[in-house]
Amino acid sequence: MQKRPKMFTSYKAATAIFPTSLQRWMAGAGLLILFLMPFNIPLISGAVPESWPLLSDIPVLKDGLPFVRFLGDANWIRPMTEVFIFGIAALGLNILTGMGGQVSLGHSFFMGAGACTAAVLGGAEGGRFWGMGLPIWIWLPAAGVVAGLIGIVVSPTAVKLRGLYLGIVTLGLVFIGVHLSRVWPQIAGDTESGRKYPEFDLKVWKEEQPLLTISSDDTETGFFGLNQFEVNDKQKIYLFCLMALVFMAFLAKNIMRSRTGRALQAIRDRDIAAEVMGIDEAKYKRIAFAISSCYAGVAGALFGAFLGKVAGNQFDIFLAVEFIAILLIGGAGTVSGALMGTFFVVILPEAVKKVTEWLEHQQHEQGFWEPAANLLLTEGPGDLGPVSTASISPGWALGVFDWNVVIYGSLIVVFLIFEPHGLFGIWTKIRNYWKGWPFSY
Amino acid sequence: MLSLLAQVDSAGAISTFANTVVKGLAMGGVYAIIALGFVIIFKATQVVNFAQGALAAAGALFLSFLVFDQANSDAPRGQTPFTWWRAPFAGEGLPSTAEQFASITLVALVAGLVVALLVGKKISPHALGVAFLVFLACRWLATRSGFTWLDSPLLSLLIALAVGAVAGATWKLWTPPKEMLIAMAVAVVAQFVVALIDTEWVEWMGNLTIALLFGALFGTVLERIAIRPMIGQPLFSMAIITLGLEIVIRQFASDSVRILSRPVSAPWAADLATEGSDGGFRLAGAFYNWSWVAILIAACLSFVVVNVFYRSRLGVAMRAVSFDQEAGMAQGIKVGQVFAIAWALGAALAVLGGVFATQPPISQEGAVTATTALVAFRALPAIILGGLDSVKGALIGGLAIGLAEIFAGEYLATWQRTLGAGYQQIVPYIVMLAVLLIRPYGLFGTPEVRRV
Repeated sequence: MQKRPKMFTSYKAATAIFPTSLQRWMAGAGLLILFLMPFNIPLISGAVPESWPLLSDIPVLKDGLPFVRFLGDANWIRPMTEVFIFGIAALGLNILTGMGGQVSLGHSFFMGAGACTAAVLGGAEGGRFWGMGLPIWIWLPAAGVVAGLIGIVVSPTAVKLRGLYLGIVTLGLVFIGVHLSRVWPQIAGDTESGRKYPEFDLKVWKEEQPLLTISSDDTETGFFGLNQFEVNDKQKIYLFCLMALVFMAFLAKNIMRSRTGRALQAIRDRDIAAEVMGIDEAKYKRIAFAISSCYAGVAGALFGAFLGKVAGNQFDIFLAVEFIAILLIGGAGTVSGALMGTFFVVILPEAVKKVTEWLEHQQHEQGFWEPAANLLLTEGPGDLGPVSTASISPGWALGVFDWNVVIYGSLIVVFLIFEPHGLFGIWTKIRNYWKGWPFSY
Repeated sequence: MLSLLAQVDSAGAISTFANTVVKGLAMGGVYAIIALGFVIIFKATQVVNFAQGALAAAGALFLSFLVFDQANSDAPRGQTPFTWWRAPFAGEGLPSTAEQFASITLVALVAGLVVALLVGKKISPHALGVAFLVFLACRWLATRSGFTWLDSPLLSLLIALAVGAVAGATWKLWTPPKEMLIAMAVAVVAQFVVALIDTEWVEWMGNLTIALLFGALFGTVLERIAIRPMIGQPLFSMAIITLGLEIVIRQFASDSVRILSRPVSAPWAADLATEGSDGGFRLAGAFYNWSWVAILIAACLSFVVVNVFYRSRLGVAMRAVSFDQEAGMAQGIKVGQVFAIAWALGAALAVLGGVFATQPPISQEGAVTATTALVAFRALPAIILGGLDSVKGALIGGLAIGLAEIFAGEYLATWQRTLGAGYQQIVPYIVMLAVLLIRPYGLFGTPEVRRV
């Protein structure tokens, strides 16, 4: 009977991070795959060598795991890194909106605050912009702390305002933030091009030679001096962001099952009842804002360092809406839902781009899918194809970027109407179906 | 009188002040119009309709197609959007007989299927009537230069059948009340008057009416497909749905104006503007734009119309529904219908606001651009300031926000270096934040009663 799901014999077992052994195994295997993905390791993302007779005969596994195989290649490393960074921010919003029930449309503002902190603390000294040249172990946590403090400053409004009033006020923050980035170019950089952000390199202080280079190739010396293990900068940044995400995700899981998390969920479900039970609403809303903004700040700092150059006006309302989309598509209130949503929303543009490229290829090579390509792709005015591959698309056809926006806008609507629990809800349904299979109950 | 003023006001301080007030009121008028739309929808359905900006842009775009002057535009024919609609039916020019036959068969099959699916076994006379009217409307639209894509009668037929099928399937929910029928009749009569008189002004007004009707239809359809299934769900979800709609609609709307902005050809810009007058008039040394006057008139009219509407039988029903839906139902109010009409009215107001958002003082272009949709986000502080559920609050909040923005732009200009370019656009949000900390439900909003 031990393997029976949802049967817990102690409080400790019920509140474990992974309540069932299956979840533990799945999380472990997923993490292992994510860590090994960029390295072209046979069976995961690389081809199985001929010398492994049994495995090289399985057609599905011959070139590595399906999906992981292509996600691990050089083209997808950067989008995947972006998934990890956005995942951190989404986890933060999940704590505030999913767990605490406080609608925030201002997440990008806190992200921008973190990014600016990182830029000032870690940016190059003596340039046109303010910079102190401090190492990553200072600017990354500091970005979280500063954003968290700003969150605490903002949080009194959340105590006073309810529901959509709060959403609109936080929306106002985004506009104010974008304006502030224009007022202080010394901090946020030029309006159009932004400024150079610090690199990931791990230093003790301001010395020339970093302890561990992350932001540059060192295929000659190898990783940690291991010559046989060549790792390039993209893979190192990938691993760094993955580790950051794993750390933050475990933190979020732990917050969720702590006293704070339970208090927040009580406030979300019925604030008056929570107050009656002795939960200090103001205090826990303040904590929720602080944690959520802290996550956003860390994500913003990583985002800046990852892109190298970010303009202040990138942290605008569209980014904030993207996080709402992530949360709703993934399923608000759960860590795995937030991560699934991030993967979906961040990979979507890249996927749409790749599909379009593939269709274009089909059209030119006259492959099997040529009719589909002809139907979908436009060749100029008068053609009925709805997708344009040109950078500026005249007429009806929308460009690839526009289609991304349209697709995720419609996904928000579709998910909310048909599957309010998002991807996580779909997963739960599948799981529950198989749990009792072949019986329906 | 004016000369006396000129003597007193030698430094121009008074005339600058008066000018700033009028300009601020005009700015606030646009915000107030959009805020009224927000409030009407919020009062009935408890949803903040974030798609208001997209509706505004879509409506203004529709108007620009209605008034689109092909002769004066250098946009090639293929660049008008939606050309793909006619592509299956015809190339350039009218379709050949064979094409017509093929298309008719196709359309009949598709439409028959749609009708059968939606209406069930019987085809209601309502559906046929609506289809016929829509067909006529489409044929009439096709004569307008902005609608060359409607040339094909088959396309009109397809649209007519589709709309008819939807109308027939949902007729019970849509049955327009007397007030709406009267309003529509007035609009139709106005169109005949337009056809008789046919001066630039009246025609533009007629076009505006049609654009407003289009907005109303659009709003109703959105409500039907996206909001109605969500009744009973958390309000947050409903609001976020409108945010999703906003993203989608705005993307289509802004794609249509990405290369060329589309003028709405407001008559005061074309008709009243004389050489060197720059589309306005001078009074006591200060410049007043004609569009400011137009906005003020429109804002006052919409406020009056909304107030009169709330006093009508339907308006009372709407207020009752906003108070308690179940009690309203028990009194025989069709709540679904009330929702649909609130959305229609709100969306029409959004379109009106969108049209004026293409005019000074919001935008100097007089044309729909990619940023037209953002005006609704700037109007959000107005409803927060006035209170989400107060009509009076929308007007006063809108005007106050507009005044604050323009006054900040005029009188803080010397600190531009410190405040940063475009600081006046942030002023509404700062005013909003300040007021909210003192009065959490805005100036006139109803405080939420919290019961255990």
